[in-house]
Amino acid sequence: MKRKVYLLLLLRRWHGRFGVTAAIFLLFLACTGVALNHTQQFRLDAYRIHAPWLARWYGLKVEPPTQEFAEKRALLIGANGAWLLNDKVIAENVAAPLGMVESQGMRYIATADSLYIYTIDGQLVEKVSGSSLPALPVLGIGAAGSQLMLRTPSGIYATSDAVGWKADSPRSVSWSRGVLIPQSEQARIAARLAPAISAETLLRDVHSGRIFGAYGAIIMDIVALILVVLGVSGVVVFFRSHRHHSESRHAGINADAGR
Amino acid sequence: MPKLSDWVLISFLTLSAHAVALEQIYQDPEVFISDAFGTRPQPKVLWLTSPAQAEIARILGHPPTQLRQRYWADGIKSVWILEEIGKEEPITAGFVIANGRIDHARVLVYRESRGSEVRYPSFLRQFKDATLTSDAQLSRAIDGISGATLSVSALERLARVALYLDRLSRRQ
Repeated sequence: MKRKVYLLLLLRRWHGRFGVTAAIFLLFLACTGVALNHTQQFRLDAYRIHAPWLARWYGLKVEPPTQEFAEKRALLIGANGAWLLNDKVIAENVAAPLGMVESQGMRYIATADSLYIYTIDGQLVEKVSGSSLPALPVLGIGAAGSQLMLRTPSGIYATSDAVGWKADSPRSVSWSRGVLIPQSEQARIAARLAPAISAETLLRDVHSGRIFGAYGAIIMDIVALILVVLGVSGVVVFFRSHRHHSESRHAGINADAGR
Repeated sequence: MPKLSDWVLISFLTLSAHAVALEQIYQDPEVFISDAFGTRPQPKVLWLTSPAQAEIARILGHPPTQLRQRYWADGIKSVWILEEIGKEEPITAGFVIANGRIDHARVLVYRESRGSEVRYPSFLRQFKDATLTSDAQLSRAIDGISGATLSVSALERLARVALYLDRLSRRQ
């Protein structure tokens, strides 16, 4: 009887220790889980974190930008799928820019498969791609007077509004050309253009433990095992205590009856 | 003793697999335009003025991503290729509007990891003949799909924007 009580106390003590350990993780999982259930309300899906250390942690290589495109007062640099215009990130998930032209109060940025039109203050007017472009891939962008020019393998095309295009013969076109960025500047700019991780992705990976790679999964496995132990020990403690109380009460009743 | 909520959390932990975004092209937008007209008309553009931007922002819940919208029209019907994020990735949908009513809608490109059931004709048929009410709502209720709530909501918003843009284009 004494041994049974000792085992029950031991089990209860360990149940408590495992419970406290699990509670820390459960609290963390509950908080991150609630946040993940409301990513839109908390705008976690829209908030993107540009941090070289985080990109490296995710195994994303931070490519330093090699060239920049200058046009009047604007300076465009592209790297790691993002564009920096006058030191401000204006686009993400975009291809490397081929050039930039300012024409008729608009700023045009070309990639191999798209033409992005921005207002001078940086608002996106339209992304033109596919068959809305005269031919693909785009090889270069330039200006001839008030006309925007695109160079493609099938020729040079001119437009004034990026809606209608007409084939044009080469004349005095001022083509946008990249200029090499000094190596001393590349690292500073690379930090601004580090591949972005969305706050939602980060939270989801922290929640699941995948942020720590294989070790994260092992930690979560251990937490799951602790919960299994908690479940089993809880059931055992509950039934043993219940039986112990019943026996004590039964013994008490018998003792009272014997008086 | 662990409570039910503990097990719910463990289940959630196990099931929260990393979402992998896959781009599924159900119909090339160019083909959608050609199918609507039999041939491909010249594109037109609609500039979104400040009041139009405000109205679209009210419909979408966020400002429009661009200031100019391209569309195709032949005097009777207009075609709008629009994009909206369901949960994480943009859904590209095409809408054919005739006389202020949705003639048909189609999911052209789907990039989300879940909820692609919105591409099924049985769901999209609900949009047929829908018009825009005075408070910029659809004239008919759209039944949702379990597990595709955000995609359904995105398509509903896009349908309203398409009808609104069609109305604007007719005023031009």
